[in-house]
Amino acid sequence: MDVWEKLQILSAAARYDVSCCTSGVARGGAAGGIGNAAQAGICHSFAADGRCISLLKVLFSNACRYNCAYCMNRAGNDVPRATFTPQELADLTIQFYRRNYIEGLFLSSGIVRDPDYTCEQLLTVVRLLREQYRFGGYIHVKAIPGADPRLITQLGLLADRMSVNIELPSEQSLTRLAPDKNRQTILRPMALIRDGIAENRHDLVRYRAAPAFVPGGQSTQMIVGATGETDYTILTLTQALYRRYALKRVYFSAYVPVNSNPLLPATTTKPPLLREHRLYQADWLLRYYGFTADELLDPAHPNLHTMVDPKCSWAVQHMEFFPVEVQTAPREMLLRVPGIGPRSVQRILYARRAARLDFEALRRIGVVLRRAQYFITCGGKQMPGLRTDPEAVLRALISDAQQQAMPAQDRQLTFWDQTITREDVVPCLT
Amino acid sequence: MSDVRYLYNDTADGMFCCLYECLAARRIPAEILPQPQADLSFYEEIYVPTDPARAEKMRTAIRQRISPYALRLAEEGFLCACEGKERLILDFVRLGLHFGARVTGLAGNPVVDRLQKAVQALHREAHQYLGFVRFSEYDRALCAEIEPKNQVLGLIAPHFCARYPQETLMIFDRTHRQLLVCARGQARILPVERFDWQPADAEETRYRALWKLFYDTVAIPERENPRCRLSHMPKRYWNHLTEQQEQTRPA
Repeated sequence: MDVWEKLQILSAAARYDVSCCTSGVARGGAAGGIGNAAQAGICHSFAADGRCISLLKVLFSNACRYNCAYCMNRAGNDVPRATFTPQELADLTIQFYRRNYIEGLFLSSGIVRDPDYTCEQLLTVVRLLREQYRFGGYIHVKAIPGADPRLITQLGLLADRMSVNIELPSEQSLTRLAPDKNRQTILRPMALIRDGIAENRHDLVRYRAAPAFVPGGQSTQMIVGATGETDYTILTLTQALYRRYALKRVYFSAYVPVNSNPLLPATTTKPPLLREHRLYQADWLLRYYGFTADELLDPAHPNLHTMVDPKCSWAVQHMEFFPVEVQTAPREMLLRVPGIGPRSVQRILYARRAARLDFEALRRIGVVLRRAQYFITCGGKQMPGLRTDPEAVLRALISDAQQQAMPAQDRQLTFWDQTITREDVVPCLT
Repeated sequence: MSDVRYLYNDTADGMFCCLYECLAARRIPAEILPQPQADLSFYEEIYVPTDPARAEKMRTAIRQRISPYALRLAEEGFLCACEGKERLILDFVRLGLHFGARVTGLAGNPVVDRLQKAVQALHREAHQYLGFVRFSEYDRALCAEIEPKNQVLGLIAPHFCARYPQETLMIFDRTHRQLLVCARGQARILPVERFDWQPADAEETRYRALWKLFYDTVAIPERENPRCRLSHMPKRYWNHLTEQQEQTRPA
């Protein structure tokens, strides 16, 4: 089998891994080598599904011993199998990198033989790149659950980012769908990497030349829509992962039915893309806006609204905090206004020291007034000509895309039943 | 505003000399434009000769009387594609001389806002080109061609020099007819009229085809979303992207 066929099989097998992030590491070029890394990360292309491509994302091998129900590479599936040699993979990475196709390598693998053997293979590839080619680009590598902690530590000293997939949002689902994995084998390497990073921070303070351990941080991913968990469960778990394991990112992947199995949704099910999108919006609120999972959802309302984004949804239900005075409001409160993001907040704080703001200035700063207008005053005044009839409010808060998605003839009437209830909107009118 | 048009030689130094001239003569021109202008003008035309010492004087004045950040905005404003950028920079400098360092904080001011947005667009485009430049190997040199709106070569040069310390690089900017050459960590930008491409050799063809294969395979068919792709990677970049051209599988 030649490299062409291997690449075809092993990139198709890796495409359900979400992360393609290359940010968080700044590194100058290595003398005598090749490659650097940019703090902000660099996207090199965008695939037909709109996702960014910045890393050569492949499996080392898809000859997996495990039999996870949701995975196309499960042992029980009749699919072509392939395994790279470390040399082939290193050569592809370097040649793609030289032509500026990619920012580096994303390396994962099915479990060949046993976790230790698989981990050793990954280590060989990464070593070859770092030591022989003196490759200074970005490397994201999967920590193989169940592998010897020493191997994972060695990988961590060479990689920029590591990840262990938590796979499913609850232990019951994991036991049911991934019989070879369990919660402990997943969380153990995650804790190991967390402690390694913390210890390394400490060392770096003391010795400048201490080798960096996973400087880009660790991430994880879970499948959404393959099992019955609510958004509340998912967000609570996400928050716990950020807090307890100090993760950089938690990724969600809308379940694409690749196998037919009575435990899984039918193969005709469309991937729940909108739900995934709302979860990401909520994830951003957790990370950058100071929200907590319990503010956004509770057991009585366990799912995110499909029509309005989670921030708007929170705001209309908490009108007691609004309107916010833009000239004087503290940072935390500005961040909670729909239509104002971290960047606008930064600019507002900067601009209001130099001059009084008006609505025109806010618009130029980048505030989305269409949404923010209901929640702010500027110099004590509301936006001139503000229309607060229910229809106008809903039109403003529901994105154009969502309005288009609604059936045309009852676009207005069903507003009321499907989306926010009248009680939610009324306070924002008064 | 008066009915005069200042002309200069389309270099940064030339533009700063124009600014100097305007401020010293207290004469605000209707337009400042790079020479030669083909259109019939109703304005009186004054050609401002380029004098590096005078340009330096203008730069120092901006740095000291406004702020280093304001000077950076003016310098980078010159690289922008935005129409009437010279006049905009002049207005900005005049505001700056009035307000001092505070001027860059006046995000609500239309002049400051337009200049900042133009410079932002320049940086955004430069950042996108860090990813969208595609090199081909010819004779052991890595060559690429780009068609940017703004003059991004100077901004992307340090990144590529650091990235490939062992290689000789050439990036040709077709819009502005400039060639960036990086060799052994040294970067230079030269004016170049044309850049001729040789046909790719077997190895080059092979990696192009492998990359296209990877690009096509890594997309999840069930999630196809052409609009999302276009918003991140507008069509104007596609001409020079390897993965958007036909590639043939090597034998």
